[in-house]
Amino acid sequence: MDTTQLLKGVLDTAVLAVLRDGNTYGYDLARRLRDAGLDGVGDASVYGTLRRLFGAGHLTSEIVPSDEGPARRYYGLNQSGRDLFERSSKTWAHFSTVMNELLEDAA
Amino acid sequence: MNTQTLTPASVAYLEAVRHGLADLSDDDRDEVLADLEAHLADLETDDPVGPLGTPEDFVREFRMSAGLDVRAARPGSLRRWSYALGAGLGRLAQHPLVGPYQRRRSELRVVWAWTRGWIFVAAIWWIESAGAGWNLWFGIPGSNVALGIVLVALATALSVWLASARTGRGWAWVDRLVTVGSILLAVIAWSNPIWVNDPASDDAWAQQPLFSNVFAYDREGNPVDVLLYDQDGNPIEVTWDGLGAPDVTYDMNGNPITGWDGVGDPNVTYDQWGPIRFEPDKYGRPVTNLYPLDRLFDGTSQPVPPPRVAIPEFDGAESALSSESAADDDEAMTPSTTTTSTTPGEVPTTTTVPPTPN
Repeated sequence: MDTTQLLKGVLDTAVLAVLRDGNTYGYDLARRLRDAGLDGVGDASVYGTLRRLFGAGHLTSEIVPSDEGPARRYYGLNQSGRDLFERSSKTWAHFSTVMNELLEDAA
Repeated sequence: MNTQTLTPASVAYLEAVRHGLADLSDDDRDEVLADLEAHLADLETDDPVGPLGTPEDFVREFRMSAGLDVRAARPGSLRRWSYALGAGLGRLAQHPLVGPYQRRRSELRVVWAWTRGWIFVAAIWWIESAGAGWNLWFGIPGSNVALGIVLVALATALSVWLASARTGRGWAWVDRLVTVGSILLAVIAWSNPIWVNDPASDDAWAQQPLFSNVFAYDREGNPVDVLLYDQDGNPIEVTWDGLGAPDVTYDMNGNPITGWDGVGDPNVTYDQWGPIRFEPDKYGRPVTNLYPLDRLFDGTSQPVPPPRVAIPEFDGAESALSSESAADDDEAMTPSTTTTSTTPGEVPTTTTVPPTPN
């Protein structure tokens, strides 16, 4: 099964979930998503998602100088972002429950 | 944006993405590119296409996930080619033969900045001396080496300062101007053949005489034919190649031009000054150092007349011969005899006054 289409639907929630643990920057966020098992997440998708969530007012951003290279932009959740994460996680919980039940019935 | 830490391939990648996001506002685009720049710096590979895909792929994926119009992201073919060129140069920069220089770019910049300053000092001297020659060391008239060292040190220090990051972005255009100016000055100065001013040089320019004929006169002013040789016994010639053989030219059909004006003279040929008729020796070989050369008007078989000259007068013991000769043939005191014989009616404007006998 092609997980690309699935990822498109849940990437927002996945990004919000990582940011709930603390502020971080794009490269680290993409790496943590892959480490968690979402291998198909492209870096460009992560940055596009961050951009859209930030544009919608759900994220904070802060430039942090780096000793090793260019300054990094750290993203974090503001209250709107936390609210969105709560709604998204509930939606996903409901959706996954329904899907699991359907799959168990089919089995 | 500080892109100094990126590889050339990453810089090219960044530029390609910038083109793909051209429709975004400046602030939005700059923020995205700043994120991507930090990301590229974090990558452990020199070629970003591996982990990120092509710039076109990156832009398309970014725009989809960001909710932007994907169609606006398509770069033109020119941009794709420019990226391909940039990526190729980037890979070349990673080549084992080039890589060490690439990694030492900052040191090379200092060397270039020093060289640039020196070029400026040397070029100023070149201009000051109207192209009379380069002083390749410290470029100061009068061989004032101490002053030269001071000036070169000042110029190079200024050049290095201009090239350094401490000057900030406001001086970047001055830095570029100095670079372009020094390259132009160097090209102009070094392409000028006058700079070869060393008579001992083996360079063909240095050996090439700047005259096309030689006219010899005896003390009485009589034109004489002479064979000229240098200190080593080599014939002294004024032909282009300077090696003794007359230049052979060819017509449109590839046949050598051996005659002149249909006469069929095998000793007429061309050099850089025009047609010339060499007198052959008894074996038929052209004698190329017998002067004056029989130069011809271009387009006719008529010889070019000798120039008008004034022969210096001699006095004292040596003048006795001149006086005696002058008494015998007063007209022979001037070189105009040949001139008047070839162009009747022409009178030398400057002639010698017959010396007064002591």
